[in-house]
Amino acid sequence: MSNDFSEISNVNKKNLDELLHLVEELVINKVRIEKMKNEVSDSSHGKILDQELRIISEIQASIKKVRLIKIKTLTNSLESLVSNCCTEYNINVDLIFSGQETEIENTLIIYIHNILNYLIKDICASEFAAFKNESNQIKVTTYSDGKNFTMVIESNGKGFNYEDTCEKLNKKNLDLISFEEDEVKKFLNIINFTNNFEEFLKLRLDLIYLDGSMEFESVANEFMRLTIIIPLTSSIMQGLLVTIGDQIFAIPLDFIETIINKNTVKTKKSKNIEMIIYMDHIIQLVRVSDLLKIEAISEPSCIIIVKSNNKRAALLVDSLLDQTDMVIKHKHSIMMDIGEIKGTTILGDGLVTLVLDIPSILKEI
Amino acid sequence: MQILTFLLKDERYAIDITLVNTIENKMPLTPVPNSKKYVIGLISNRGSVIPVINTSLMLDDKDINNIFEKFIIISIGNEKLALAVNEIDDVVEIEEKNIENINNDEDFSIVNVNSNVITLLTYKQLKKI
Repeated sequence: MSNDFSEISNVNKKNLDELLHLVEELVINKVRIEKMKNEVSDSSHGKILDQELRIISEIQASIKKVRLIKIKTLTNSLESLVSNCCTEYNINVDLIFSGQETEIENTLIIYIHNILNYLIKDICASEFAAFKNESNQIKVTTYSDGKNFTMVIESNGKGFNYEDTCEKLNKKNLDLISFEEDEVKKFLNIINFTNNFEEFLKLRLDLIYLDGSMEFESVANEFMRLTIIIPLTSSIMQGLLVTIGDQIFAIPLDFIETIINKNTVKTKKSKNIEMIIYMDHIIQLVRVSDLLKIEAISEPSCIIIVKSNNKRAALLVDSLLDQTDMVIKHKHSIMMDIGEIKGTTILGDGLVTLVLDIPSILKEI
Repeated sequence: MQILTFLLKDERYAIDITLVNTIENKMPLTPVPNSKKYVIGLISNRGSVIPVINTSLMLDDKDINNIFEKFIIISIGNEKLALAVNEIDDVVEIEEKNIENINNDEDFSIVNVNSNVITLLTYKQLKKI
C-alpha cells in the first residue's frame, strides 16, 4: 500500500540542475565505457560494464521526463507583463492562455518565454495602443503532439492586409524562416513591429537552428496570428566530424545536402570567388580553413554541400572522420562574438569539439 | 578570508578561494578560432566545457610564451573559467583590511602577505573577461 500523500513533491531547482548535470557527465562517459568494454578481455569485467551501461541508459531515459516543465510556469510572468503594458499604454488587454498543461523541455521554456515576451510587448505597442479598442485580446495556445511543439499567438487588433503584404514583399506566404534578413526587417516595418528588431532576428535565427517554423497570418481589422512550431528532438543532433588543419569540427547532419570528392568537380574562379557547378546549381566554394584562420596542413579533399534557408554553400574541408550523436552545449559568453561557431560538444575521448554554425556561415558569404 | 596564491613565471598572484572550484593538471586543449587572444582553448571538465585563459596575457597584455602546468577552475556568475598558471603556491589566511587598491582603482588590488606584495585578482576584474 502506498503511503504517499501527494503525487508531486517540491524539489529545489538548483538541486535538480545539479542532478541533471551529473547525469550529463555520466552520458558523456558512456561512450568511453563502451570503448573500454570492447577492449577488456575478462568476460566478468565486461558483464559489469554492460550492467553499468544499461543503468546509465535507464537513468538517461527517466531524467528526460524530469526535465519536462509545464507551460503553466510562464503564466504569472506573462500576466504581469500584460498588466505592465496595460499601464504603460493605458489600455485594457485580456490574456487568454490555453494549453497550459503542455509539457516542454526545461531549456526551451526560456526561449518560449522570450518569444512571448517580445511579441506581447510589440502587439500592445503597435496593435492595441495606436487603436484604442474597447476589448483587446491576446490568445496564446500551446500544444504538443510528441514530435512538434506548436504555439499560436493571436491578437484581435487591427491586423494587416495579408495579400497586400505578401505582394509588397513579393512572397507567396509569410513563412519568416524562408525570408532573408532584410525581408524580415521590411516585413516588421510594414506591420509596425519595430520595438526590438535585433531581438526578433536573433529569436528567428535560433528557430532556424532548431529547424522550426514561424508563420504570420492576418485579416485586416480582425486578427493577426503567428504560429511557431519547434521540433522536440533538437537537443541531441547527429553530426559529421571533419578535419580542418589539425583540428576536428562537427557539422550538424541536418544541414548537409551531399558530400562530394573534390577531384570529381571543376572549380571556376570569378572575381576571386571560387565556385563549383553541381546538379545545375552554381555554388560558392568556402574554404573553411580561411574562414577560421587555420593553417592548412594538407590539400583539402572533400566538398560538403550545406543548405539552410534555400541557400547553399560548398564547404571545403581536409577530410571526413566520422558520424556521431552529439549534445550541443551553448557557447560560453567569452565566445559569443564568434559567429562561425554554434556551440561545443564533448566527444567520447573527452575532448571538446566545436560545432560549426551553418546558417550563420551561409549568411556571411 | 582565504586566498589561493599561484605563480606566473616568477611573479606571485592570488585569488579569493571562494571563487575557486577545482585545480586541474594541464590537459589537451581545443583551440578556438577567431577568439580573443587570451583564450587559449577549451577543456571539458566534469561535463562542462570551460574556456582556458592565458592569465599572463590577460594581466599584462604581453605575449609571453609561457608553458602552463595547472588550470585553476573558477566560477564567475553562472559560468566557469579556467586560469592557466605555472604553479600553485599556497593557501593563505589574510585580513580583509590588508587589501589595498592601487590608484583608487577597484579593479586592481594588492595584498601584503608576510611583507610580500601579491596582486589579488578580484571578482570584478575576472567578470570583465
